[in-house]
Amino acid sequence: MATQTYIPLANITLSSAAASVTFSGINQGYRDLILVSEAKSTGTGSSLRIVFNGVTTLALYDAYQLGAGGTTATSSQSTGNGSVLLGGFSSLDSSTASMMATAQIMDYSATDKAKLVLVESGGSANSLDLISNRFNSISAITSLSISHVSGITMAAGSTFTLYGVL
Amino acid sequence: MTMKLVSSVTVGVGGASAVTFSTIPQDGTDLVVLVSGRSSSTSSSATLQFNGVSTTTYSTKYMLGNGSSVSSTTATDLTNIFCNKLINPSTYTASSFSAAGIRIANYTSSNAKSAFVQAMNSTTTTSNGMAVTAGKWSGTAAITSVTLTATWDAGSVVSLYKVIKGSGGATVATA
Repeated sequence: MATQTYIPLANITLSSAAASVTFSGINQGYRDLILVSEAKSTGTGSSLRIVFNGVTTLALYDAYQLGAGGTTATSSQSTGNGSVLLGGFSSLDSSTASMMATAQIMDYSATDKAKLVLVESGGSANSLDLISNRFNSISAITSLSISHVSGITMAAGSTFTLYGVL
Repeated sequence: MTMKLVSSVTVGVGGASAVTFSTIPQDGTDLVVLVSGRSSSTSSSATLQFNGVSTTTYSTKYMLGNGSSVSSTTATDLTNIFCNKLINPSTYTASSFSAAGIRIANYTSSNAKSAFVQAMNSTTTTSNGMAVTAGKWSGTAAITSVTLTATWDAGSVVSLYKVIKGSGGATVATA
């Protein structure tokens, strides 16, 4: 039998609105992690973000973004983000539609390099984003937490799935 | 197996006007469609529909890049999800095909459905292009069929995978 290379680790579907979702005890035996989310917001004016290992030091996170709002496309660089940006130049859609985001976290278990996260996200009712994030820490990633930048809760029905890639 | 092939279609001699995957198993979490496509016309796009629904229940937002400029468009009340650059047009180098992937999240849910499309035309003679598209279908039925309509040329390959989520291991998800 062929060796499995794309392994589901854990998943959660919110049964009620929640401020954050956390994946902890992440198995260190893979090369990369892939997080797939389909999230709805209980409010507008926010983006999703990821914090690794509970670390929120602003200077450790920066990003390059290519995004589109439906009429124009823009590119920007941001530093001191305090988290990995998971998408949404504009406000996250309300509970009538979802934003889908896929984040590939490269070499997450390495202890000799900063971590790169490639994000593709979008929703037909909000924005499209391609984001290259950097978490400037050589610590292995053992947990990740997803929440809204502005503290808005994620609506019931939002789903988050984590995969390990060999 | 996490990502399991459901079905694969290789377009034969004579081409095809659509590729449809029907009776999709309902035991997965997401669907992934991978495309290596070529058109027998000058069009480089395809349309995506679910369950044969062609009413104005779709909307899209996409970003296009051609190597020198980037543009973006949004559209609502559509009869399909328009997939730019999903296939190479006939004007491109002979026997060259596009590279594209479509991810459809939570396809069995009773909510509206989201799709994310990444597509790239490739050639050595004319302008290349890429597109990223976020699409939504407001239908709440589980997706049992997926149709990609285009002037498919022979040799195009379209493959459907189902992705299965997992749990019960050392990694724990909490909210």
